[in-house]
Amino acid sequence: MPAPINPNDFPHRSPIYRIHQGLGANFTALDDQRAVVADYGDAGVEKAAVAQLALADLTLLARGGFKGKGCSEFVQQAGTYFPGFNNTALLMSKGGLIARLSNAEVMTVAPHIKAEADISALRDVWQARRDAGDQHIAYLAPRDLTHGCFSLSGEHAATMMAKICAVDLRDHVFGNLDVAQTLAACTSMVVIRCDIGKTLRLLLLFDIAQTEYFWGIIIDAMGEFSGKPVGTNAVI
Amino acid sequence: MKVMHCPLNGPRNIAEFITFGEVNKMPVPDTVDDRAWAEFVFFANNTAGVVREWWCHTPTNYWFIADRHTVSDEILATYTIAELFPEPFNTGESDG
Amino acid sequence: MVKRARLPGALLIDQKQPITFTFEGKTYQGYAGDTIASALAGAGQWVLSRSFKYHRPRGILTMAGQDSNTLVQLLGMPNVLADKTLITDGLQVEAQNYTGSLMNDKEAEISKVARFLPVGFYYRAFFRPKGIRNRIWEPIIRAKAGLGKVDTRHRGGYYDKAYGHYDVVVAGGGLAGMSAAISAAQHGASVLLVDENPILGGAMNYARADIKGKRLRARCAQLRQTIAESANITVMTDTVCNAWYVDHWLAVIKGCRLHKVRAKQFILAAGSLEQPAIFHNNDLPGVMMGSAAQRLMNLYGILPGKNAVVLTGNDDGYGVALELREAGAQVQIIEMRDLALAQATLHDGCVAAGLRIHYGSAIYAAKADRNMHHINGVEFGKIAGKGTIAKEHQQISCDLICMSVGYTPTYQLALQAGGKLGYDDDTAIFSIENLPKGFHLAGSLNGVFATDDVQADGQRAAAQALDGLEITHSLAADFLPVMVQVNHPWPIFEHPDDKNFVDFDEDLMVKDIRNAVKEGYNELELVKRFSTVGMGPSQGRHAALNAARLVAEATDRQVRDVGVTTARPPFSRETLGVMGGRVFSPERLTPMHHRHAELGGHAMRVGAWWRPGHYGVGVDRVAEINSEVRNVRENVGLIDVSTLGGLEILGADAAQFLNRVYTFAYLKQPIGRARYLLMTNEAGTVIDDGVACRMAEDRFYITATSSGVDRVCRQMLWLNAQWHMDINIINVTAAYGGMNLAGPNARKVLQKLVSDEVDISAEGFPYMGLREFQVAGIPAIVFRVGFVGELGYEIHVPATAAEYVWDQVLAVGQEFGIQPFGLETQRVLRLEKGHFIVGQDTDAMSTAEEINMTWAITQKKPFFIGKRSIELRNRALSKRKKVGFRLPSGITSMPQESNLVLKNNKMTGFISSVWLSPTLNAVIGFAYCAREDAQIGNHITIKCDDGTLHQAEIISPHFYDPDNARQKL
Repeated sequence: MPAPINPNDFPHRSPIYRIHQGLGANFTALDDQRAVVADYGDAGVEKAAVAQLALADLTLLARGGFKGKGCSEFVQQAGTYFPGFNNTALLMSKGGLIARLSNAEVMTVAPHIKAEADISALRDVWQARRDAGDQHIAYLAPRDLTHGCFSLSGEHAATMMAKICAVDLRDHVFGNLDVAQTLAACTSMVVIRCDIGKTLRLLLLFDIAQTEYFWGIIIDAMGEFSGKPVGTNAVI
Repeated sequence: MKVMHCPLNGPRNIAEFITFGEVNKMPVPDTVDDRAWAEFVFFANNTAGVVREWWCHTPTNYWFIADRHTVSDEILATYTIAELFPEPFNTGESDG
Repeated sequence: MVKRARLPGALLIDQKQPITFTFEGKTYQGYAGDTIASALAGAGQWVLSRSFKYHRPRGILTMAGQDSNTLVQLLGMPNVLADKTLITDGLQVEAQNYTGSLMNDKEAEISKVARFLPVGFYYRAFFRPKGIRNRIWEPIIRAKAGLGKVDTRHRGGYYDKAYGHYDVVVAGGGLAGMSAAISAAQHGASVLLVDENPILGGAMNYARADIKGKRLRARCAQLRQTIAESANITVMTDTVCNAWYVDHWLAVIKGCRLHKVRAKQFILAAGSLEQPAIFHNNDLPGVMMGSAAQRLMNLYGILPGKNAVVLTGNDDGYGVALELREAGAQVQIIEMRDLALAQATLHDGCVAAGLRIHYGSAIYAAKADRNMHHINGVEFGKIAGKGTIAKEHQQISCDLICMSVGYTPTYQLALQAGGKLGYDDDTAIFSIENLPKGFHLAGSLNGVFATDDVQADGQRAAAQALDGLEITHSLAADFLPVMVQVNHPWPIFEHPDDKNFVDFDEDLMVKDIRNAVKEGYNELELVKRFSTVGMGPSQGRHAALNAARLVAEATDRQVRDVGVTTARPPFSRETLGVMGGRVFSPERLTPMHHRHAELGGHAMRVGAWWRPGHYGVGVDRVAEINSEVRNVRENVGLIDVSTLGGLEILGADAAQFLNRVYTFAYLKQPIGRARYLLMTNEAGTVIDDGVACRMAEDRFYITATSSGVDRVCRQMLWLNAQWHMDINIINVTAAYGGMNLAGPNARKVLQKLVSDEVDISAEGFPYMGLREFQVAGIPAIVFRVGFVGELGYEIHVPATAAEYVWDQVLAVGQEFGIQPFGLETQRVLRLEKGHFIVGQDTDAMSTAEEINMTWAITQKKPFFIGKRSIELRNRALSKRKKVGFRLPSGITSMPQESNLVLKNNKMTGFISSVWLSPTLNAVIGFAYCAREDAQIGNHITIKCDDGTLHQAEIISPHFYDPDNARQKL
């Protein structure tokens, strides 16, 4: 039996790793820099919860962003599509998301570990062009650091969100790969819908300094529907 | 709770926005006289009627412009800044 | 306990589930579904409360929560409506507003001196002799004021809120509302149907439209079924639509949850409020609305009286009479209209049933015995003129008087939306005009009363809503309803002993309204404010119309000219819990937040952030802070500065942009250097400061104050929206964890955390230098600034690795005496060094000149925000200037921030920062003082909180290390 992974042994930590420890989380190392929650002890229960109502902390997964003049051209020239409308997202080849926040800004999000390759690939292309002297290719925005990220999934997800967010996120109104930049629980939040198979799933992105604030609020709001925290294994 | 139609985000509760007040033209600081400059800084028109205003969607910090009737509080139209001001303005220099 | 059998077919109660509760200490039994009022009525307890002023016994009036006669006290909850609140097992109910007992209230004696308590008497009483009001009267009045008692320890339930979105919201689940909901849903609209009762149906559940009384019940059951089967209709019963706000935002309250509902179209089908007749003793238990009696019989199976008199001015009264008769009561009818006017279906039914009808008559007085617990008779006579009854009276005994003299529409939400309530004095018919787009009325609220018409009106409202939604349909857009006269124009009758009540909540009689007008308050709004009519808990629901009629008559006008009333949210009571919901108070935590707690940090709230003020066991805050100060000056300290705002300014015009936004010069700032940032607003007032680090030609990493950065970021975006410069702004405040390593040993600590190739010598990494290298293996931005006046490195690392780096620095620094230090300590250190803090040492008028910061103004730039105003204000200098001052350490009375600086006993300034410095062993601080006094060597007078005056010496504000030698090590 391998020794349990301790998030304290890694330099990069989720702001709420103590909460995960308190819930009995089993951690898994992504690399020598980060360890994420694999599960909280009962994989079967968590898998079932994903379809009902489940919350997972994806803060340590890769994210990026490009902002400024030349953003759309850069993205297209890098071989990825620039979403056709503001507040919509596209999936990249390995499942990474590219969300268009405005005419000149995108955020890239890895909803699972395999998708991280999309995020880093796009960033590497940018860096190579920058090193080569390209000026008009927008600027990097460190979204892996400015934002925390949760996955909220299940048939009750939209109803639960209605307790903290004024934007209608129900299935027939907010479609898969739609994006909403709005307020939730009195502070800013970006919501990207990115279903897991047939299960509705919302990615919630917010000021990383408010990660603990949001975790507490969502756990409280989930109670009505018997929602559960789940590890990253459950939301692949 | 009023609905504001944000050019970027669509219809949203007005709680997601703040206003910076009337869109005004800044007099050229180097040439305007003291009195006119002080009035620009401190005075507001206080128009009873349609006013063109700066509005900001706070979650995104997206700035845009809205025409609002200050008596009925009806928001008549919203615009992107680019469509009303395609060129630099209020730069504080003579042509701005 | 009297147990009486309930009438068969009671809609809301389940007689298989008895429930036991207490009222005023006595045990009662009711059934599941009973309200407190119905259960008590079922047991023969009709007195529920004592009236506000005269302490008269009161009981059921509307049986619909539309009056406050039924307010009772529950444990921890005062002023609960007994006619809406369900009984539960073990519920303890108390009455309110009495001394002694409910049935024997000692304060009822006050009735006898009623003539000394005319309307508005309190505006003239309680003042003489001087001082008596506060000493004697106020405690008495406070004890008497209010009805129930608040228990401040009571902790309510779990309150929360939820947003809702619907195409159509229908408020009111009676015939019109159900019909509207069904029609809208059938055409694909999503519908929310809200009703405050436990079941849908409204008046259909208790009223009578045909002689046999079956028609409404059958139709109602059918409609309920259709609704239950409709996937598009969400039904919320026991729910109040409590307010309408612009763009159809509705406050919908169900239990402990506030639903914040956005409707695209709104249909108000909230029905009507039955109105009382005014005669002597019309307020006593046993006098109630006709609809109240019908509710008691049909919903709860209770016969309200064995010997009933129905006072009627419309056809509905005959429905009440038939209901009572079928339930087993003796019934007589006092009909205010003449025979000719009284013809209608239900009237004929009463005639056919042989009920005695007294035409053209009205009630002169209700009779009761001395204790007035219940009426026992009625005195009536022929109507001789408007409001007058002929001299010859008849008297009959009775134990129930039902009033059926008219209705007002339930107008509140319509008026909240800007609707205007109109009233035609000749026909006594209401109208509501001027509603906003998308707001539709249906049913009796809309002046439609005949059953089929009401159903059609609901469909018409749905048609208009569907038009608003641009959904095609073939519903009738309009139709002509039958005119039904439901209101008697003047059901108000004089009596020499008065006690004929207009407003039951406020105990206001006819004479009170007339006297208010006589006093000169001749507009309804003035009468309201002077007399308080309509200001009680039921907010004029049963008083507004009659008050308007009386004011109109007294001022020789029509009601249509006087107006009736307006309405503002909320429609009915709301608890603070429902308003509060889950309290969302955003909190921001730095990456090292938990380490501070673990190290004994005392958390302070700074805007949305938590920061440690200092560390220690908390016995002596000042000593602990001073100990941290000493350690920084002598060894090395570490402070979490993550909250400091951080913005990336990127792009070809980045330096030019900073040049225009800030007062200093940035175009030639070298890469790898840090430079001070000072920001003034358009008026030339200092509003923010920070440091600009030039990372590259087109890249600056700038800091701003913790509380100002979000505003600065937003302002910059606003400016560039106008200037169209080639820049980008990214707010990275939370993206980086920042820590300041400060003290003479700082370099030694840092050396252990970086690789050997990194040159952090004094020459390699000078003061105000900026470098990027790994600290503890983590990529960091490091710059040297002098805020606390020691050798220091400000280290910014990615937030997710900041706790790790913090730990490494503390671990490695142990051998050099490192200790963490907090915000309060930092404030002392910077004060010793002479640095100002925006917002503490500056206010809304502070210019750079006043605070000795003109060195940071580059006037020769072509443009920067504030330039013109600074130039203008330099020509007219203010009356004050900020100085540094000193007092000896031995003073017994310590000055505090905000203590005044006086000159000839007039205020010329104030202290903005002050501390007994452990480094300098003296009291040092900043103060604003009169400009002419602001010379080094002068003295200024400071007044402490306790009045002690000090003469403080003005010295250079660079109290510690004025040559800056230590920070440049």
